[in-house]
Amino acid sequence: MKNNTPHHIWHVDAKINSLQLLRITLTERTTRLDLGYQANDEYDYGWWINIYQETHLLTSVSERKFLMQDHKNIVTAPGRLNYESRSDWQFFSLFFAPLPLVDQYVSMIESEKPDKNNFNFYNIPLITKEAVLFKLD
Amino acid sequence: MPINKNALRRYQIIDHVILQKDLHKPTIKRMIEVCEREGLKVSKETISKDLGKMRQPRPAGLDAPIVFNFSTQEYYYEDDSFSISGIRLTREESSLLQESLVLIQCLLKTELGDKLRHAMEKVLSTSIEEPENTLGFPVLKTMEPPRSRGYEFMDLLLQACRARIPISFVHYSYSKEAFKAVVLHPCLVREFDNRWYVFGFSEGHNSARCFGLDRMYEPVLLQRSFWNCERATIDNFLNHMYGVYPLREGKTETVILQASPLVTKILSANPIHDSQKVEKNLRGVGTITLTIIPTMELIQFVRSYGPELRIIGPAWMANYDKNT
Repeated sequence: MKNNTPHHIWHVDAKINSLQLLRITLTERTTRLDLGYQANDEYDYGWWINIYQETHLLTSVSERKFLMQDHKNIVTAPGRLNYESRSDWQFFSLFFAPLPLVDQYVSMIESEKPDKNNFNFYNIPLITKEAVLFKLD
Repeated sequence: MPINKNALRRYQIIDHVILQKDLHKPTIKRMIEVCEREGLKVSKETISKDLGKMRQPRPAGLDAPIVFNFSTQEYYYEDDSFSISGIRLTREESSLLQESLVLIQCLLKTELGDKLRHAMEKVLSTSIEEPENTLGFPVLKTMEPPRSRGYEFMDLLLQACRARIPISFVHYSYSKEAFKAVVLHPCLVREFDNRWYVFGFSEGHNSARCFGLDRMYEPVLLQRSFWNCERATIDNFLNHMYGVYPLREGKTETVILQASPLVTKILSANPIHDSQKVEKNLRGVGTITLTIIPTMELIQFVRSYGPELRIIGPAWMANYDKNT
């Protein structure tokens, strides 16, 4: 049976270092974050990416941690996706438990004690009326 | 009417036998013989049932005005001009269609391509002429580039274009080395030089834009109203460009190229654009005039011929070629 409940998608353009947070998608089953990584001049001897399994979302409307449930086009640490060139790029997606459908600020936390290599985004506004509705196939 | 492949083939044979009444007696015996020659094992009962089925009105049958002559034991069409294929295919026409099928197979390797191929095979089955090739290699060979990234989105994009549904996707720019989330109201999908592009109105750019499928990630259909592109914009994109990425304001200009005698010959035989005009001097050096929207692909095309082809005008385009 197809689910006709509208799903929400936010186009965001948040950036930390070489990582861009591009879209946040909210369905009744999941919260999906689409991200793009572009290496830069810092990486003369190749580079790699991965994501910590404990990566989670925090929201301004709840105390709950929304844990990462799945990932696509990236591996969890200690695994690594290795690249040779600083012109290489990687598009990947992270999946979390569904957020409540209310206006809120969302943070993606890869590490609670981050260093410069961690993928942490803070206080991304998700305003319901700014979302675009989309339909699942 | 759902018809299985063998039944459709038998109907075509029956049709063929009836139409060839001047050559052979259109009897059930003859129909069975032709079926067997075509590799179909059939009984008299099967052919009788087929004749009955063909007589039934559409959509259950084919509405064929088949009449049986008891005295001669022959079948014929009451209407002499009737044929279930509508168009009678000669051997040459059938062969031509078979070749077209090869082209379609090369062009479209998506689910859509499979459907189209299936449709084409049905068309082909309206002729019982089998393509004859005992050489062991294809006599028609087209370039078959490997399937590029992003091709898997073709069906979704065509659906969006046909049903006028906006889409959201992430685009990666090779030149800027950056990602961007895009909302596009797609009008059409176009192939150029074995690469596929979707064209439509981009909300972020507030204008018509073209995006390579190979740079696209995770397109989804949106639930929101559709914004049309102007017809003139679509017309420009389809007909007045060599390539897909216009330069400057995307206005039509007169582009003049100078070509060596060799390249003049090649381009005379293989015009760049419908608007192309060629003038040659006594030595065979050609001045090629195009009325066209300048594009990056046109410049790249000129560059591909090295010193044998160069841009004379407009000045900005000639300098673009020199400075980049």
